[in-house]
Amino acid sequence: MELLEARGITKRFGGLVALQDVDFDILEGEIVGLLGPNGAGKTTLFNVIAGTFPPTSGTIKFAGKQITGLKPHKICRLGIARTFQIPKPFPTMDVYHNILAVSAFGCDKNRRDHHERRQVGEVMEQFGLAEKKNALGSELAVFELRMLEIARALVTQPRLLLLDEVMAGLNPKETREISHIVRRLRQEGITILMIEHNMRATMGVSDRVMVLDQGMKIADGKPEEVCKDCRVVEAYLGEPYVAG
Amino acid sequence: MNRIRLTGIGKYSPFGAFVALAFVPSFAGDYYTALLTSVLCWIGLAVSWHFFSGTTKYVSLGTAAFFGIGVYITAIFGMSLPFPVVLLIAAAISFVFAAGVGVVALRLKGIYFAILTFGLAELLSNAILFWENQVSGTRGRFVVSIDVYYPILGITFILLVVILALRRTKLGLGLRMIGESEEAARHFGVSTTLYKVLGFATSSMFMGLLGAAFAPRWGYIDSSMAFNPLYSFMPAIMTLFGGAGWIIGPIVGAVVISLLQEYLLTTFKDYFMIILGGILVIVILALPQGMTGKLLTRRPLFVKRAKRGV
Amino acid sequence: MSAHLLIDIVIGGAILGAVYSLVAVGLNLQYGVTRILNVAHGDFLMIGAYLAYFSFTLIHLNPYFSIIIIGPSMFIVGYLIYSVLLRRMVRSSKSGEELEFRSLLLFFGLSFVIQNVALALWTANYKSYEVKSLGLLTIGGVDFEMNRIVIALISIGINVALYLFLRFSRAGVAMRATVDQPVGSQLVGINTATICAISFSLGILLTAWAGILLSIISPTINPFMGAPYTIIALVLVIMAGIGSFKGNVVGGFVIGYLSYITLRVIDPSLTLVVVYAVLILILLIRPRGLFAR
Repeated sequence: MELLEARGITKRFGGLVALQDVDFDILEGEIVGLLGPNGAGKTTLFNVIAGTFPPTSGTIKFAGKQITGLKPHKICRLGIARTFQIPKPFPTMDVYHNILAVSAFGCDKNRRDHHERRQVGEVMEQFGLAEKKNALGSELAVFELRMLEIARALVTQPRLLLLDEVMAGLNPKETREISHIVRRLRQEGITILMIEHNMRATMGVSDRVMVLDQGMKIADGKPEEVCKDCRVVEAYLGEPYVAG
Repeated sequence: MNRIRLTGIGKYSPFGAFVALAFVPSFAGDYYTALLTSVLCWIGLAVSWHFFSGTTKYVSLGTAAFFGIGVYITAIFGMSLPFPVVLLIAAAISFVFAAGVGVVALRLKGIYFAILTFGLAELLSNAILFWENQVSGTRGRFVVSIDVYYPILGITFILLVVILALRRTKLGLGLRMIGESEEAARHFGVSTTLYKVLGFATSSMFMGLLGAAFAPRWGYIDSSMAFNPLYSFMPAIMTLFGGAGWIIGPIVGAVVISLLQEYLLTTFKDYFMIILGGILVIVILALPQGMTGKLLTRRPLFVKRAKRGV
Repeated sequence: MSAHLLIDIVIGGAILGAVYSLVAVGLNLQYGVTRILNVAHGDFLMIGAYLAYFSFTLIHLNPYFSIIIIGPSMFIVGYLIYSVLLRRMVRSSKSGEELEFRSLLLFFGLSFVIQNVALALWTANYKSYEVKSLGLLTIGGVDFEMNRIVIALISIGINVALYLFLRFSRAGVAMRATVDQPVGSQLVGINTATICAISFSLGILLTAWAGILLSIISPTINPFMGAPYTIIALVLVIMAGIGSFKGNVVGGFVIGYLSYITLRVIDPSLTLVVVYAVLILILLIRPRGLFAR
């Protein structure tokens, strides 16, 4: 079942075309990696899906329902949650309340009946934040911040989770932990679209991978196939590296 | 932000304080009653201001506009309608007007909001001056003369109770989240524009109410008195001075600065505003964190500092 | 509408527009570069007006010369204010938000102090002075006082000079860079601290000049005359988009015409209301300002 259908997504900022005619589907239960060099438009695509700003043209359907141009809070309530590339914790609130506050808002009452309400305590355990429950948002280290981002997104009971470079700047152990979490979330029924630069980790965990370059989708398929696609190689490494 | 929990006897001290205050006019003279009225009014204004601007970080410099609206409602209707009705009208008009301003101004960045609210008082002052010239041909109006202490005491009490209650609702939480990270709040399901408008309108409603209740203190008003920019400046500086403790901050700031104002006014008469302004400028430069931090450590009996949290 | 009225409005509005552009440009520059909003803006204009008044009445210095002589002293005043008051606040503020908040209150407080010092020194009585009239210019049967035209031309001249300064001088380019990219500018070697101080001082200078020019034609110099000009400047900053020079000029003329038409055709005391109403309209359509980057 297509959970997310995007057709013809174009986004212009004045003269700059950040996204050009991007089409894709995301099936329920998939883990999809979104790759591409810096400036390719990946976060812009996330912003369009999450409602931060509307696309210049194109449509997005979520679970069959039109969501193009809806405001972010409505999209959250419909079941799409996101993390931010630069984490945005609530700085003067402690970890516990950071998560609690979001759980008070994130979810449509109708949907809450279908899933068991996640308890804040459980979520903190899941993400290793239990010892840090009294630490203020402004006091957390990078890895904890990333965990908090995912934790908060989770308590909104999302069907689709958008992860924006959650592995950036982490060491291998932390990266593995995030990969575990991503797989576990899929088992719990959450569909995941993740932007990443960490190739190995992303290829390892994704069912499918999409590649953007300069605002256009240049590849979409299984990780092994995409790796070999010359356009992808060219996008990342430049023309001289494209093998015959 | 620290939360102060009152334990034991301390829990009832706010109520006790208000009950005690109700008896003041019978004991104290006219001067002290009038002084207390002013202090209570400033407390109300500072707490109202903090409810929206302190939590969301959208600095409103328009308190004088709403206070002035209240003053004018009393001036216009005070002689012909019963006072409670006048107060209700003032509250309603302030709320609606603030909502209107909010819908336009709160979609923008914080600094634009500050600028727009800054001009509001002057704008209203001009508009009313024009209107007065057309309607009554005079600059100002006489205001009904009634005792102001109990209305102000009552309104400030109600305002504190309501705001304390609202803090625990989704509105209060939402406003807080907006102040912490508006972008995150938006994406986590908070309809930020709606909440900001509601918060601003509620805060302004109380300001209008206080203005309406305070007006009879001045027997005669004109637009420059009613919309005096001092009423925009003071609640903000009182909150800054009072510091981070969320309701204690504005209360402490209001009490200290209004008493200081009174002292300077009686001692220096003509130059009080220069000295007060000078002191406040120094406060802004020297005390970014405000006074509450220092105060909290000196009252172990009735105040227990809760674990750091919301 | 009679031809007379039309000519009156076309020329009169332009004169007001030119002056308003000058009134606002100082604030726009200050906020654009330093991100500190000087809400005491109009009070510095008032100081300029009083300086011109006293120069004229005490030592018979023609206000047109005051511009050259007194103007620079206001630059120094601005620099002192920045060094003594603002630098400390910039350093001790932990976030841009905090700085914005504290600077708003700081200038608000300063405004009260400045106004009341002026009140204590010079009383609230309206002051004015008569400069020798330069005659009348008659266009299409409507008389315009040459003084007003000269003031408008000087305003335009100052704006042009400022434009050239911002475009071609090193300091000017550095200022524009700081408006666009405060961090990037530092990375390429621009001393943003100094540029901020200079921009702020320059803003004060420009505002004082506006005050001097306005004093020539104002019959009501008083400690509180600055408030409406602060509002107009603030409105223009929003309308033009922050840091936009072009927007400042265009916006100045828009507001100038609006005010003048309201003054002539509707009622003088409603000018601010009309201006505000138009601002609200613009904000509803283009929230980032007419010329925002």
